[in-house]
Amino acid sequence: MTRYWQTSRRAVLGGLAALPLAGRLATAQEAPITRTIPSSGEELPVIGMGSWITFNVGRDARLRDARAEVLRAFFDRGGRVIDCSPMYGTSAEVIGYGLEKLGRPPQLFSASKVWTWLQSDGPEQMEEQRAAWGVERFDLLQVHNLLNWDGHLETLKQWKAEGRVRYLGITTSHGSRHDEMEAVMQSQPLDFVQFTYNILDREAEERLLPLAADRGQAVLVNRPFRQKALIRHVEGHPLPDWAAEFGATTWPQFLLKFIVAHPAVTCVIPATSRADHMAENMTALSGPLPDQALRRRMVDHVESL
Amino acid sequence: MFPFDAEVLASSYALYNAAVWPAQPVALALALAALWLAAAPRAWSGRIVGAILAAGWAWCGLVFFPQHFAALDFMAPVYAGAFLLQAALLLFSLVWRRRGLRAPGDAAGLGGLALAALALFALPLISGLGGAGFAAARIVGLAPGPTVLFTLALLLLFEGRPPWLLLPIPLLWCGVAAVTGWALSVPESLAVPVLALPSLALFAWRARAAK
Repeated sequence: MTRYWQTSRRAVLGGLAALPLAGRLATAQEAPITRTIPSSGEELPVIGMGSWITFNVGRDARLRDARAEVLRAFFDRGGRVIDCSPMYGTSAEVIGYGLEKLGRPPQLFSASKVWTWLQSDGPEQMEEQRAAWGVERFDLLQVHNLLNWDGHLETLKQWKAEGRVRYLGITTSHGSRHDEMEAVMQSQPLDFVQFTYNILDREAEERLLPLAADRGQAVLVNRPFRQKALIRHVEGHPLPDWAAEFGATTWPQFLLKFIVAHPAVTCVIPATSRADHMAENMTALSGPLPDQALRRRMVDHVESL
Repeated sequence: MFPFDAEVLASSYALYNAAVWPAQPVALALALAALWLAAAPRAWSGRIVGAILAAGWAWCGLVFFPQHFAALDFMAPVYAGAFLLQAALLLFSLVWRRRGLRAPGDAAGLGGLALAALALFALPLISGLGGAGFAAARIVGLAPGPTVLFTLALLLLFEGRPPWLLLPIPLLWCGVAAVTGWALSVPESLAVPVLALPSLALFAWRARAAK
């Protein structure tokens, strides 16, 4: 059964009430929509970039160059947050290749993960990732899929205290292990959390998003298109006329604006292997956002397709 | 849930083929020798064919998966271990135990020879005629798919009861290939379980005929 908006947390509702105003301001200035990292006050643009599958292209020079163009399209349109993981094969190397080719854009906000059973293997893995990216240090390191989260968070807390990373966090995806995620969010001093949230997978609205708002944790959203399944779900159907009310002219823009309109969301990280799709995704970075009534209408519409 | 797409998979095979050249003509020569020994078996042929099959599995376990595929897929070490285990099982079952080859006079024998010949050329042809191109061809003994098909087909020619111990790992790989082919729309991968089906049917036929 449809769950629209069941949180009663004051912070989230307060944010929702402010959305129409935020939308009008954004329209007037066409400035990129940003959100604040609660633990620091730093602003981030709400559209970032994931790299699962799309940047794992091995050693193929042609494919690496094509991904560098994806990065160019991302940075040229105001993007900052790039997320990766040691689980993603050669993605870290390919991101590093692209960053080098683009002259190391200074606005980069680098986010990676640690994904290994043993705490003792974590530092080496994170250092390998850092070297592959070619960055001095990561902005954000997250414990991937909660794997040995207590051990790795211990390391990350130490690294943060030493200045080897700016923020720390945890991740999950596909709507799995939300109970454990919630427990860690409750008990640990996290800067960021990352989980799946999209127009059809809205379980996070119940507990994780309100809890992140309450705990002052920034939220990265993965799988905004359910990989490509959501795009396939809507393609072939015309965009409803009322999508113009929040400036959506394409389905990806429509789907991304649904996510970033949630006030507890800091940044959504769609992944793509194509520069034109990246440019299309980045159009969701400005203009008005749908209010609560419109978001409900968006859900009804997509579920009816 | 694969961490790469079909284009990257084809590209990785092309780069791999370039990196291991001239292993391809050597592998094909060994496979043709195995096919010839199976078609006209002598007393020692079973051991030679077993060693050639084991060499193909060992190559995949020692070279293809850990040195080339591991960069793309975190499951590569698991696959490498399975292929090395199969190599050991082939050496034990066919070479160590001196299992002989039988004259390919019945349906299973003739079918096994035909399917082994098909395994040599079917997947490269699918690559060459499809989008991946001959540069990305999957060669028996060097790539897992044709190695599995070639092995299943030649096992039909060994004497005695069907070697059940040698079937689970090839069948598991057929499952991996089926999921890969389906999820990523890769015809070369989908062809592996499809082309394995006749061999499995002939194993069942042989088992029933032996009762």
